[in-house]
Amino acid sequence: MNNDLENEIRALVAKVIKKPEAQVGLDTNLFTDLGIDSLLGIEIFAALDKKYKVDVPESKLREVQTLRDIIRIVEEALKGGK
Amino acid sequence: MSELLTLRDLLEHSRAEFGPHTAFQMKREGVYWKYTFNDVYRIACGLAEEFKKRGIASGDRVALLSENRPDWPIAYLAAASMGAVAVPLDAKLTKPEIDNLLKDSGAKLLLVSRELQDSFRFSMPHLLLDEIDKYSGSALPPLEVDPDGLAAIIYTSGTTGAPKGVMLSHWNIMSDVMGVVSLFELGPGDNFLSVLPLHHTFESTAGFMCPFSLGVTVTYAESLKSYHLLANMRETKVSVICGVPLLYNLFLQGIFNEVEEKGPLMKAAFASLKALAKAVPSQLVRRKLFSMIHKKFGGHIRFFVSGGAAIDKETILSFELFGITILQGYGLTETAPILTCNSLSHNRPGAAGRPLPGIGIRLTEQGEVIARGPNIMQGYYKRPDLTAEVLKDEWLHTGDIGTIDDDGYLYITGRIKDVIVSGAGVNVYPDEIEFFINKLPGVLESCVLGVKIREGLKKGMEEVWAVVVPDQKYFDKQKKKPGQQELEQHLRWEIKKLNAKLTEYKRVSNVIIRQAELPKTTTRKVRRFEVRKEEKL
Repeated sequence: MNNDLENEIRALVAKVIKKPEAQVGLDTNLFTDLGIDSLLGIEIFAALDKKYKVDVPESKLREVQTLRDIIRIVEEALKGGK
Repeated sequence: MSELLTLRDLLEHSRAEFGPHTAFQMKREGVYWKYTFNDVYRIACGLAEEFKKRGIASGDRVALLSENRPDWPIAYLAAASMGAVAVPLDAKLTKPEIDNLLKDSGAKLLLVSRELQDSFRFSMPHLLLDEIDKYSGSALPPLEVDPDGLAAIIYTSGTTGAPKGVMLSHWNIMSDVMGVVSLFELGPGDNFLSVLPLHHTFESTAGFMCPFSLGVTVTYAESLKSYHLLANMRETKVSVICGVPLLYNLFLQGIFNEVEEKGPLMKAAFASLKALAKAVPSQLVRRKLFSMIHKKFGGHIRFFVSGGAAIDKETILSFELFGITILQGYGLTETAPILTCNSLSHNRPGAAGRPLPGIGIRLTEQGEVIARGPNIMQGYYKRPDLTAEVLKDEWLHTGDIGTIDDDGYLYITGRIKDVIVSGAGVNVYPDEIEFFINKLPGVLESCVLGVKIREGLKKGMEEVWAVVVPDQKYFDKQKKKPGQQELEQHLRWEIKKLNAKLTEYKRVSNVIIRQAELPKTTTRKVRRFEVRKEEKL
């Protein structure tokens, strides 16, 4: 996993949800540990789209539980996998 | 407008009055696909005929499962206009949850989007919503739809356990639609942006049927990403949005973030504009002062409507300063759903509004809000026991506590019922979550409560917390007895695993491990109020 990407996405998630970066661990459950709901989840995807120009469909949100999941989806999208 | 008693009346009235105007639209692959009121009627007639061919008769259940799209309301109108009962399902539920509700409702046919059919692969008879455009007809099947006949069954809980479906008649729904539209001057040329899920009664009544009855266009948001919402607003000249508090908080946050990003000069200018706007209570002036914000929203916003959950008064006041009115309403699925609503001429920030015409609101001695009117549900489907608990002598006991001021405005101040209302306006029933927690290895008993979030974007909204008592006997039987820390870790891990199986809004966001037995009534029911007090929640 790319460390720069991890840090960037962590910073982005923390900014959207208004929580300190330190709280967003790689395997912290975004929904249960950080209180994110689907609307905030979609906002995170919107910020990812803006930054990386990757259009992640909302239906992908179903697969996301942690920061690690987000990074995987972005990596796949950047590689042109999806 | 003449009185519309059934959804069939609604469909026929709108076609006759507004035929060539756009009823529904949505951007797909860069282009807005538009359906006029004539198109809606034509497809609904053809679809109703197709339902008949597939053996659907009056009273049969037709389930709807899809993300928001124009085909959803068309299918709903087609089913209801031929006397079938619509069963709108939450597209975010898991497959077993959906199967449970399909079984409970006895649905004979499922209308499903291709995307969801591809992921769930339902084997029951189904029609793809993506293909309903191919149906076409010039008249609805001849039949009388009874205004007191069932139009919809809407499941509010029990998706995993015993389901609880709210039965609404045609007149329940239409009386609510007529009541709401009497308060607003809207018509062709206005445009609603639809962002809330259509299976939610607030969206289907206020966001679909009300505009449909007035010849107002509904634009289905391309996605809920903020840049899509803003683009849809700008491109289609959106004038009204029905949303939940979190959506408006996100809009507000977006505005503040942008100011912040533009540097200290902009921040100072913004602060002075706010101070100026405070001194000038004219909405017109405020709109001019904050024209940048209005431009971002497309420049045609007339007002926002907030429902589903209580909105922070500060959010309303912030938008008021920018020259945008947020009107708060109140209601329950059981009341189709709107009971009270603020209007542009009668708006009190912080209040839930005044009762719609024909609806009576009273407070019991305990302060519980009870309501009577033509919009009160027929009961819970196959659950006369639950119906009897809330419907007493025509009065629906809402479970909410409130006050009514001298001018008749209702204020909701708390809740008697255990239900937790998420920021998205979705109800979470603690006993349903407790049922699962109590089955986890190592759990003796549990109490699930809604706890108000004290800071951040979701300030004032509720999240799901669980107070869990460990089963010492279970841990004593383990080969290596765990210490306190390991025991807590085990319980948290089990709940984490459970969360993964639950729909997002039902997930437990915080766990408190408690050694002492939960306080109970003489009938062994957990006293939630005391647990809350003892745990300082």
